[in-house]
Amino acid sequence: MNFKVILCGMLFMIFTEELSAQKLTDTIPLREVTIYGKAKIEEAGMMVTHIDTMAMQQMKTQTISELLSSYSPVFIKSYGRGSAATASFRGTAPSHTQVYWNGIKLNSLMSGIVDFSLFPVYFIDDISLQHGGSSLQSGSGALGGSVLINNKADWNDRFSIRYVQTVESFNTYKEYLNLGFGNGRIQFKTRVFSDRSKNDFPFFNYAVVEKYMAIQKNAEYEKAGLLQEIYYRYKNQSVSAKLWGYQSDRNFPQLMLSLDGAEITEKQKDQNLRSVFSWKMTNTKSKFECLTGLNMSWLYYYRASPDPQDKFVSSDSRNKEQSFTNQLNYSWIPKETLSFDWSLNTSYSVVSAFDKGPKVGVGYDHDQWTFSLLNSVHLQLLPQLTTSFLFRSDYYQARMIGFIPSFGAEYWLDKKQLCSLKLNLSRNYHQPSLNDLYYIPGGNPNLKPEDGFSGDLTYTYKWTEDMTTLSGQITGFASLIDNWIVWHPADNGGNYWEASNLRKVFARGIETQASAQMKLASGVLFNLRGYYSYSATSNMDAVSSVDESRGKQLIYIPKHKANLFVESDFKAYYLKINAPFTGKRYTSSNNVESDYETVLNPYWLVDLTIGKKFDWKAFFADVSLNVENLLNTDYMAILNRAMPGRYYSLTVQIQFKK
Amino acid sequence: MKNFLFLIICVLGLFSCAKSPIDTVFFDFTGNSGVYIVNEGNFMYGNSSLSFYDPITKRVVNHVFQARNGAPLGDVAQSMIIWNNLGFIVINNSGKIYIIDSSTAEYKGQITGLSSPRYIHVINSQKAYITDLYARKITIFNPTTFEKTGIIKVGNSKSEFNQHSTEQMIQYKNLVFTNCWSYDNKILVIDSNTDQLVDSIEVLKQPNSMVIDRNNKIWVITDGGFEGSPYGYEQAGLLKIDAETREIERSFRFTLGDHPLNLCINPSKDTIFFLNRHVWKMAVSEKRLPEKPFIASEYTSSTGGFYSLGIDPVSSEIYLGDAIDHRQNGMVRRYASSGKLIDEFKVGISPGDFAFK
Repeated sequence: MNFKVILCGMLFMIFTEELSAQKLTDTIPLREVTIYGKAKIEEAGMMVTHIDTMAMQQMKTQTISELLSSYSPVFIKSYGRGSAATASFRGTAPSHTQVYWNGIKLNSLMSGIVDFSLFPVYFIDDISLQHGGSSLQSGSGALGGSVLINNKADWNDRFSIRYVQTVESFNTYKEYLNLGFGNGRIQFKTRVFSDRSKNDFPFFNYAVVEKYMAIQKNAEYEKAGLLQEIYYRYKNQSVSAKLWGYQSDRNFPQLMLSLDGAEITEKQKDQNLRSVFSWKMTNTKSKFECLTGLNMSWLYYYRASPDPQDKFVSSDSRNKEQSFTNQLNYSWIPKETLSFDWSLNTSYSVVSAFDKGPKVGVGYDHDQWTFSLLNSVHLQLLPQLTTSFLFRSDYYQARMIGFIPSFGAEYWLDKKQLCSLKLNLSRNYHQPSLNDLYYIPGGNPNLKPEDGFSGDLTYTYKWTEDMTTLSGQITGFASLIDNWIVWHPADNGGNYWEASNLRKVFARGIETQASAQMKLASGVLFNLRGYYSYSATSNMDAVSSVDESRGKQLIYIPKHKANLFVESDFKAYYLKINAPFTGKRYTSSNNVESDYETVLNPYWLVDLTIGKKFDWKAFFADVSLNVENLLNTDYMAILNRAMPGRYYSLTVQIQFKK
Repeated sequence: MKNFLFLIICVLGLFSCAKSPIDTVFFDFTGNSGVYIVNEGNFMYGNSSLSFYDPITKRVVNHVFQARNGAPLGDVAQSMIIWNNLGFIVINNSGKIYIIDSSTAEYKGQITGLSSPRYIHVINSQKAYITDLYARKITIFNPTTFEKTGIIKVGNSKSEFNQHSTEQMIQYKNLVFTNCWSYDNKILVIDSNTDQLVDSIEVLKQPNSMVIDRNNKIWVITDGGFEGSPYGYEQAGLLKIDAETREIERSFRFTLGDHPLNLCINPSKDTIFFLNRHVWKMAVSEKRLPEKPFIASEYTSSTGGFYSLGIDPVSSEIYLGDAIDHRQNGMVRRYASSGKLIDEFKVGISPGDFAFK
């Protein structure tokens, strides 16, 4: 299997290309497209990738977890269809990926992580990744990298309405509606969606002695959301207000090998309300932005035996988080080759976490102020050489981290700016989550922040001739993270786990991405794309002489991850094949392998979409049939959790635009 | 278009892969000696396993259940007993009991539909009890037919906590004593003839393990809970209770922060052993807690100490489970009754219990 991965990687390294979204000839409303690789002075020396709007269009009825899993080197650890999904960037922990929505941080203050399965792609206009130390531009704490999700105004939209309906196997129904109007000075955009599924897929339960064909139970989910945006511009000023409300109700199924026990109800309800208001003023040589945001979230988790004779609530937790963020950004661009940025961010947060499982509540309340100041300069030293230097100073929990620097450089190897080398070196740190500090029992208020040094080197190239474009990039990265926080059984032998700064972790690897676009004489358009990443993340400290975990890959982080994407358009018809690959993952820290050890096998999934577009001037329609897991692969993403085999969906999109 | 189809076929060709089924492995553990090691695994991973060790040949076989029966053991295997050449393995978070032939590890049957089973105690060939952390009842089953035959309700509606959870069981005459560990401080007394709860003994906070000695005194370790617990937090204790009168005769207290557990007794039932980072040994006639550990742990800081303790009821040898970081194959060390190390071997993840043949 490894050989195949390498072969695919090599094939795509040779026939590669960078993809932009301009090839579409129909009337799909493409929003502003940021073409990767263009030399922007404020992105000089930074490792930033943008997921193009075509990919987002293709995955419009999916969640961001599926989008990232297919179109980025980020590894998504998903607990199953509709269940929680967290992101691991460059082999680091999920809490080391920071997520921002229009500048507001979305990571849970309690757990430090983000559940990407809660964000529909339909609600996003732009998504980009800041890899490694480049993430310091947005904020500290992203030892792996940051994901930036943004919404943008479409100033040309006088009136548009779009409705998307998907019917999927396992009683799944998704509806999306988008309404936009405006006059170029003021714009309104409203998006709503609903996604619900019984999720009752069949699977063969081979995790028990008496094996049988089973139907997944207790895996239902219902998600719904609303996003309202208002934009206004006048001369050199613009204001925007965005409001995002969201609710998700999910049941969690039990492990395949625990289905014979008493029935267990395990469910989670997530509610979020986020708003952000921004005022921007743009002059020829400066930009000023003032941003204020409120992020509120409620999470209810419940686990109990539903039998009225035998009811026992083992967990009934209610978590509430509220944070109020203010940010001032000022950019000064005295000339085309020089820019300065300053950004001051303050945030006040209040959290409350209580579990009423043991009847009398256990938990904690906490509030905190954080401050972060960014100073950065980007300078074009020579026509082919740009550099950047930035540093952050953070204050949190009465602790000052005064100097978090990052240095970047970008060197163009040719005059047309098609090939370049990029370098980034930085220090970063990640503050412990509030659960790490205060959770009862086991939270440790004396935890130190996780402290990391990282560096990466990237080679980017692009080649165009006639109707063919090839491009790609390869990055090597390494980071050393000290004081890595681990939850482990209590030191005193107590029947609970506690948090400590236990490990020194070395993460290194490569990320490659490549694509090719060809237009044949027959009018057929081909688009090929591939991603491959290798991340080795190992523990450098072993606990005792018998500890075999030293130098071994951390659990649940695959060394190999790849994705292949093939698309072909012919007249109004299109065909798309998306094939993500997940490498072998260990579930034990000493990476032991034998016939019975719990190593998760590598797997390819193949998704196929066939569709047709209909264009009647102001009206537009698109009908597509999608087959997920085309080869009916039997796989496990998480140990002993059932996954569906082949399944289908039909999507119809209707649009009117004036 | 032809080229395109060809390309697709090539790409799809790369995806095929084959899995070879694993053959059944047959074991022969006949003979009088040998110990099964129950490896808990990690909560919600389903990676618990069973190991078998023969002290004569010093051979260890890991994953015996899966190798023989072609399925993983389950999620968090808690305990095991051997009775009448049958091994009863309690799989806590899978809510079931798997029963195997203790000489071959061959699957014989199962008891399903349980909430959070912890321990099994066999009364006779027609009756056995299963305690439960959550259910607030003890399940009665027939250990010959594996049929569930009844329940004993142990709910305490007066408490603001979910009581009573039931744990280990020991028998004195027809009475079965079971300790209530989770947010509780009781030892329940059940008449095994009538399957009725007849009495309870109040002890210190969170009794986690108990044994009965040659003088019919019940020894109980209480761990005192944890800091910040709504039930309270106190010094751990060691209590001596008369089984006949159900009176506490002696009470020893540990330093706050100590967390003793896994109380065991030697075959002659005159010396108790327990874990409190190290292994401690104390004669039942002692009037003080021991000052020096019997076997000292090499761990100095985090992930400290030994995880489980078992004493061979025939040879008096001591088995110590070391879970290391609880994420890798644990280590079991075997000591002579004198405390001298005899052997050490690797088992599954988090070795938590021992069942001697």
